[in-house]
Formats: sequence, structure tokens, C-alpha cells
Amino acid sequence: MGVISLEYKDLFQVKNLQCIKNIVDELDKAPYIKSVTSFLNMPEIISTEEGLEVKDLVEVFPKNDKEAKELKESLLENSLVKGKFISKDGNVTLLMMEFKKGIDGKELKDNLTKIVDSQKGDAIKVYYSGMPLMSADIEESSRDTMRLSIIALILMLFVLYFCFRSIRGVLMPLIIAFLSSVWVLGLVASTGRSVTMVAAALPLLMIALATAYGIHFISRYYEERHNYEPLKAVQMTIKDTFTPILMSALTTMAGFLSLSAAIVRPVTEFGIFSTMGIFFAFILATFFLGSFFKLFPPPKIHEKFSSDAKDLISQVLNKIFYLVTEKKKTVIIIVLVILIGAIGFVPQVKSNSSMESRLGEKNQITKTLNYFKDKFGGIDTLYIYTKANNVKNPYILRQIKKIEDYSRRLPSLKESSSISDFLIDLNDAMENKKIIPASEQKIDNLWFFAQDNKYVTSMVGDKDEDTLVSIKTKEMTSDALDLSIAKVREYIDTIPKRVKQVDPSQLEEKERQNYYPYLADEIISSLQAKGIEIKNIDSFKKELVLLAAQPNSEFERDDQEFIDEILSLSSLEIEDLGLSKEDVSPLLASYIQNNQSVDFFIDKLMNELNLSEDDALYLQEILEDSRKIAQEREKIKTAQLKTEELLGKKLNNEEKSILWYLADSIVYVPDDKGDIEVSFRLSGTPVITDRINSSLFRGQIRSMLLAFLMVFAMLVIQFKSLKVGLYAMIPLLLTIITAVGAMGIFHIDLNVSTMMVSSIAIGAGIDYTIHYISRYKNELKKKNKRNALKATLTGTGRAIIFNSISVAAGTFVLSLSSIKMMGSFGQLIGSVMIVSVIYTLLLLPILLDKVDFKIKKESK
Amino acid sequence: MKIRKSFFAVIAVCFLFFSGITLVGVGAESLTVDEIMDKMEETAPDFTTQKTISEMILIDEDGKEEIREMIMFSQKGEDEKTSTLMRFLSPKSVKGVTLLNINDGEKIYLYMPAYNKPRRIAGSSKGDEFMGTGLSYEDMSMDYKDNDYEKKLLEETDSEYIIEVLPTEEDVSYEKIILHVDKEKFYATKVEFYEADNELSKTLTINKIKVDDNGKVTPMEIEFTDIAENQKTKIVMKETEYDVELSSSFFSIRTLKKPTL
Repeated sequence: MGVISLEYKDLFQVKNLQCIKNIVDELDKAPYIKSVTSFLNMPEIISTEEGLEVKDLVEVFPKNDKEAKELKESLLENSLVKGKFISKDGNVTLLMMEFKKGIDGKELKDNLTKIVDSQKGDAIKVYYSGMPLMSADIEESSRDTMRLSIIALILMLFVLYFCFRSIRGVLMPLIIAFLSSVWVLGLVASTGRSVTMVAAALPLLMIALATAYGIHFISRYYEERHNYEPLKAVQMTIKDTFTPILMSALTTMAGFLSLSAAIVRPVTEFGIFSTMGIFFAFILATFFLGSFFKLFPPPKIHEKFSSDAKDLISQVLNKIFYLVTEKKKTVIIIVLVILIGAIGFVPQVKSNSSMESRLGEKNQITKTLNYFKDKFGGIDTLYIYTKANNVKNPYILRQIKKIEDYSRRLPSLKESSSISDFLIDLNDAMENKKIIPASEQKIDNLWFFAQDNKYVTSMVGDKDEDTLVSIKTKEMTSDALDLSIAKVREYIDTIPKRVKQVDPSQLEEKERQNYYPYLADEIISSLQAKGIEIKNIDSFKKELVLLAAQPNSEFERDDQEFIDEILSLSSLEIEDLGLSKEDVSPLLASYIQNNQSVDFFIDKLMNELNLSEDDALYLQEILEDSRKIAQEREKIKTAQLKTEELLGKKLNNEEKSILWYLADSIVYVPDDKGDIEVSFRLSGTPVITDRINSSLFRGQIRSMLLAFLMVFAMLVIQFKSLKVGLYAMIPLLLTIITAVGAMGIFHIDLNVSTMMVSSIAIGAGIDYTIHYISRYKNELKKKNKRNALKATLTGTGRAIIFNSISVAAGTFVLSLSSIKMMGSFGQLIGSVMIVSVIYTLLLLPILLDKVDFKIKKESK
Repeated sequence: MKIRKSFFAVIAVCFLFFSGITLVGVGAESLTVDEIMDKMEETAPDFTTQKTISEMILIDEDGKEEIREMIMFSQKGEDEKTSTLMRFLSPKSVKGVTLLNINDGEKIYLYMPAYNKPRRIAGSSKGDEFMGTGLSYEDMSMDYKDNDYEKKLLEETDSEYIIEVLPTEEDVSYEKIILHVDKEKFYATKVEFYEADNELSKTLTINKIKVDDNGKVTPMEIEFTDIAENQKTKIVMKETEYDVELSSSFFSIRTLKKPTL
């Protein structure tokens, strides 16, 4: 489904209406469009004394502006149109389109835009909405995000240059990131997948993460160059960094891989592709960089890589060294305070997958949605997809009506529309009963009468196997809406899905009795769906069953009003015989009031009205038919009054009509072997977001647990110590808590994108820990604890800081993304990287001090 | 303003149901439009009542077909006005739906068997399409007069005359109609209906004809295309009977209800 809205300063001028008509005509002809619905072709049922008709609401196109104004007034009184196809102020109109399958969103939008732009005339605003069209917008925004990669790249160039002060130091990590990104993107393309919103962020993420390995390698190499000649430095670097880089790659991969356990598909994909990317980056960072520095050793290394450098980062590192050796308590207290503060904000994090929350209020899609909300009270629709052998079965149509009635009363749902509504109106026009008739043939007849109307036919699928009930929602997504959807689901569960059809007229009266309770049940449930409270259901049901069993003839009256009703029901036939009602009235009155015999009545008709015997017989038959209808009407009237009395409440017209079910010619009985089977499925954006919202938490928790376990297991294996494994997890855990707390502070909603932050925090943050512990362990072989700590902090600590600020710089660029979700994702990751460094460099030294590594000192 | 179909919209449809065209020998000399029209008029078969059984094939834009079988009776009254009664025989979902049209659409009644009560079709919906057929109630009703149009011979080819018909009355839904008339047999092989802005909206072609022993031509297959809706209606004649005997009250509401006709 797609929607185009057009706003004019004054829509109801002939020239503007003509524009709309032209657009509708053009769209109608377009090969990719199945049907177009607008106020121009809404059905209207007109029932007059004369007869009945179904016509397009705008049957005659207005000739001048005066007629256009009249049309406006009549349309704004029509509940089918006002607020649905025409805004309440009458200047915005909606065109609804059903597309054929397999159309590319972008192409579709381009084509639609072409048609609309050439015909729109003086339209001041045009908006496009609906899933295929919105996905085109999303794709557009995604491309914007990819363009941001370039900015991220430039920014990182500066950061890296600041760190390494050498062209090699700048280019090599980026080449690693670039190559691994290309490999990943190539992989995405080779699987035939399109670039989804999340995949668009991937190259950027690779640039941010994959540089890390390069940075660690190069940083270490530069450090070694202060002690060894070039070739030996490469050897030493590979010897010392291969394992930590492999380990950090593996753990990062584990973190990303855990995302693949998420339930939401884009997140799963993202996890898998990122895992691959990290693997490529590892291969490149070790083998490629090793070979490169062997072939092209830099002649001179910046002095800040020596252990007694005096630059800014060295000063910071020395300060950290002072803090973790001399001020342990202060550090721990500060960390605890921050932590407690963060925990305090964790409960404030809200899950919100609404478009607005994901895309931001400045995004085109959000603007469109807000516009629709403003003009039409929301555009989102909850669909109830109904499937059956034949959805035009009366039982199914009645259930649809009940679901609609029930839904409409829920707080987050608004008006609904379905094929049932239309058929009810048509049946009302046919025989003054505002219900779905119980007979399948009647539905067939009604359908036949109406099937030239496109709006109506587009509501039922091929072979009559499916139909959609659409219910407008007040908002795109919210807890209240989720609750309403759940209630609709519950309600649908109470409906018998399989029934059989029984024709009571084929049964003995005694057997017939068995089926009246089913009629009563349907009446009760239909009234309840309309929100009518029935206090004593049992006695009401008993009363209904009694009424149903009572023969219609017992409700006959013999007053003039009743006689007139019979005559009016037979008016066409009477007229056809060249007679008037007045001619027949006295004869009929005497026939009924005096209980005359049929033969006597026929004689009277022949003699007094000069009819042939044939004609008289025919007229008598017609009058008898009408008499039965009139009796039935009396019975239902009695039932309606009785119901009002029993419920102690006045019923409106529609509610009263439900009592017509008592006259049903067919009864539908729940039966597991019944041949009428129906299924209802909720769909539409509200349902999808609802599902994402709930799977979000499950996915989140699942992927976090998985990542934690995998990382922990790897650390324990690598360092052969449970204690080290546990200590290493502490900075990570604190980082995640702080990150979630920060989301609470800055009102960042939890959604598909931000939920990945924790996993990424695990994946990326663990790198710091691994490099740190690995180096510390190595240094312990040569030095005492204090000196090993100093060497680790100034050596690996420097690389960690380089890594963190370059990553942060890269991901912060994402916050410029036109997709808000990407923006907050970038900000969060950036912050997480920095927070993680702080925790790693401050906490790990204190924690590791408590570990006895049992390392044999290497002799110098 | 009420929309009314013009004369030729209806000629088209009249072929559907009861037209037969006399074979008229044609001289080499060219004919005037009026002469052509006269010859076509002359070809109208001499009958007062007719019964046909035909198949109506509805073809939608996706090429999906729906076949409906129908029986139709028609009668020309003294004032040349026609009454028709048409009933669908199949498929099951439409079986028994009957339409009665009295005196060229003076009154139209619809009978739906499940409801057992005839309903009158309100006047203003006569221009509407009849039950998804691509034909309007008026198309079906043959409501036409031959004195409110202007005609012109546009072209004469080897095999046909091409005639333009312009309705003079303001009250019509077609701006122009182009008729292709077979030069030999004098029947319209194709009729094109143009709406406002000279846009071709509907066409009607006669795909098959039958020439009987008396030299009369009966169309056997007619195809009606609604260009705007991309919808086709094909009518295939299965049985035609002329001058069937019908009771005087045949074209009345009471016939609508009769289970057999």
C-alpha cells in the first residue's frame, strides 16, 4: 500500500479537482499499480423510494467552482471520506494505491513523482507514504550515511597524524580498514542482499574498528624501533602482538557474532558481516603490515614512542600511573560513584522503535508521518489479514464486524473499514437490515450488485480467499498501542475459527430448538463487541431463545399500520399490475382483520379489481410474501424492545439491528470438522514495531549473555587463569552499565541500532583489556610489577588511547547521519570507546596487581 | 446534468442482442452517409421478439476470465421502443439475477433471487456500469433516438466506410463516435467511442458473423473493450431465435420472479 497526499490552498476548485482526477487516471493506467482509491471513486449506496443504487461518490464531476463547493460540503459530511480521504479542512486529499508485487521502492517513487509532478498544478504540498515508498527514503538516507564514511576517514587522518606524526602511521591503519571494508561490502553484494539501513553503517564501523589492529601493530613497531634495528623490530612486534591481535579479533568477532543471535534480521546480518570484517582486518593487520614494514622500514621514528617521552599523551599516561599506584582508593571511589550514578539512570532507558525515534524529527519520513497525523489523525494502520476458503461467507463477515466493533473501542485504535461495513450498508439498502445477512446467496447477490466499484473489489483478494480489515491507529507505536494490539489478539482468540452451516428450515421443529442458542450466542457476542454490558447473560440468552422459537405469525397485528406496511412492501408489484395501494388496501384489511379464506380473498381481488384469475393469484402470493416479511419485522421489533428492557438501556440503530439475527435462515455452529474455516493475522507497521520492541529485549539479553560468555571463556583459556578472566570482565561490565546509564541521561531510546552498542562495547572494549594484559604479562618476564606496569601503561596504554580517540572520532561522525538512529548509535559507540579506555587504564592495573602471574623472570 | 449515452453507443449494444443485418448489394457508385445509414437500418431484421442465449466473458486487466451465461428476451413495441429481460444462468453466484428493462429504459428493475423482492434501479445510476460488465445500464437498455446526431463520411477504403457521428444534443456522454461499416455487408465491424478531449474510451468490434439462408447477418461474437479500465467483455452467441411467442405480460415484474422463463 502506498499513499500520496496533495494539499492545495483551496482544493475544491474545478482546476484543482481536475488535477486530482488527472493524477488518479494516470496512476490507474500505470503498470505497477493494482488499484487507486480516492474520494472520486468511493462507493455510495443510495436507497430511495424509487429504488437502489451504488455509485461513485463523485458521480458527476463539478462543472464550476460553485458545484465544487457543494461537493466539498457533501463530502465533508460523509464519514467514509472526511478525515480519511479528505482532511477535515477540506484542502488535503489522499490517494491510496495498491502496488503490484516486486516493485523496487526507488523506481516506484521516481515514477510516481513523475506522474504527480506533471499533473499536480498548484499543489502546495505533496507527500508520499507507505512502506515501499518509505523504504526508498530510507535507502536514500542510508546512502547519506555511507557518504559520512568519507568525512570519518578525513577526521581519522588528522587524529592518526596527531598520534603517529608519520604518513605511514596515518595511511597504514586506514588502508587496513579500507581493504577490510571493501572485502565486507563485496561480500554483502555477492550474497545478493541490498544495502539495508544497518549495512550502510558497516563500512564506517569497519573504519572505526579495523584501524585498531593497525594502530596496535604500528605503535608497537615504533616502540620497538627505539630498541632494535628495523628487521628485528618487525620480528619482535609480530612475536608480541600476533597473539593479542588474534585474541582481540576473536573476541570482537565473538561480540559481533552474538548479534547474529538477535531476532531482528538486520541486526543478525550486521553481526555476521561485522564478524567477517574483523577477521579480514586481523589478517591484514598482521601479515600485511608485517610484510610492509619489512620491505619499507621508516628511517626515523618520532621520539614520543620512547619510554621517556614528554608529549601530552605521555603526560596523561604518567598521571594515570601515579593514580593507580598511589591513589588506588580515590580511583575506586570515583569509579564507584560514576557507576552508581549510571545505574540510577538505567531504568530511564525506554524502548522505542517508532519511526520518529529511529529517524529523528528532521527526517523526511518523520515529517511525512507527522504531516499525516496532523491532517488525518495518523496514517498508520493495523491490518487484520483474514484468510478463508471464501471470505465472503456470512459467518466470517460477521466475525470481521465484531473484531472491528471491539477494536474501535480500544484506546489507541480509531475507525476501521472492511468489506463487511460496505455489505452491511448495501444490505440495509436492500431490505432495511443493518446486518450481514446469514445467507450466502444474499452476499453473492449483494456482491454482484456492487462489484463494479473499485474500492470495494480491491478489498477482496483473488478467488475471494482473503480480505483486509484496516483499523487506523492513533500513533505509530507506543505501549498503549501494544496493549491494544494484544487485546485485539486476545479477542480474535475467542472467536471460533471453524464452523459448520445448518439450515434449520430443513429440520423438525424439535431439532430446530437445538440451534436457537447459537443464534442467541452470536447476538450476545455481537452486542458485547459493541461495548454493551449484559449483566445477566443467562436470562437474556433464555429470552432470546424463546423469541427465536416463537413463530413469526404470532407477531401479526391487524391495524392499518400493519396493512400499510404489507402494501408498501408490495408496491412495485401492485404498480406493475396497473393498480394502486389504495385499490388493494380495503380488501387486504378485510382479509387479515376478518381472517378470511384465501379463496375468498382471491375472488374479491378478481371481482373488485377486475383482475384475471392468474393476476389475482399472483397478487395474493405477493401480498402473502410481504405479509411474512411484515410479521418478521414485528417480531424483531418486539425482540428489540424486550432487549432494551432487559439490558436497561436504549440501543442505537446499529445495536438494535443485531436482533435481526433471530430471523437468520442459516445458523453457524462451531465445529472442529466444519467446512467453514477462517484465520486472522494481525499485520501492519504497528504490529511489526510491536514485535521488534518485544524481541529487542530478548535479543539484547541473549546477545549480551552470549558475548560475555564467549569473551570470558577465551580470556580464561588465553591466560590460563579464572581470576584474570573475571578481572578482565569488570571494566567491560562497567562500560556497558555506564553506556546504558548514559542512554538514560541523554534520553537515547533503545532500538535496533542502539541495542547493538552493548555488544559492540564488549567486542571493541575487550581489545583494550587483551592488549593490556598481554603486554603486562610480557613485561613481567623482564621487570618487577611496578616497572612492568609503567612500561605497559606508556607502551600499550598509548596505543589504546590512539585507538580509542581515532575510533571515537570516526564513530562520532555517524552522529551527523540524517537517520537519528545512526546518529545516536555513533554517539554512543564513540562515548563507549572513551569510557572503556578510562575503565581499562584505571581499573585493570589495580585489579591485576592482585594477581600472581607465576611467571619465570627472563634473565637479562 | 444527467449523462446519457448516444445513439451509437447503443447500436453497438443492439448488435449484442438482436441485430441481424440484411445483405445489401452495393453498386460501384459511392454512397452518402445517409444512404449508408439507411442501408444499415434496412438490414435490421424483421422481428418483434427475439430470444438469445449467450456467453458473456469478462476479461480483466490481468487477463483473468470470468464466464457468465445468460438468456435474454427482447421485444419491439409499437412505438419502436424495446423491452428486454435478461437473466444470468451461471455461474452459481449470479444465477437467477434478472434485469428487466421496460421501453428503452423507462423503468429498470433488478431481481436478486436471494432477496426475493425486485428492486427498481434508480434513474441516476443508469449511466453506471452494469455489474462489472464494462457496460452501463443504459448500454444494456438500448435507450436511443436517431434524430439527435450529426454524421459525416470521413473516409472510404477498399473494404469499409468510416463514418463520424457527432451527437448534437448536449446531454450525451460521448463526444464523438467513429463507425467502421463493412462495404459489402453493411454492418459495423468496429465502433469507437470518444469521450471529452477526443480520448478513445471504448471500442466494440464484431469478430464473427453468421449469414443465414435469408441472407441475414447475425453477429456471433462481439468484443467490447473499455480502454480506461483495461477491461474486455466478449459476448458469444450460442442460440438465437426470432419471433418467439411471449405473453403480453412477459415484460413485467412478475416474470422476474419466475424460476423458469
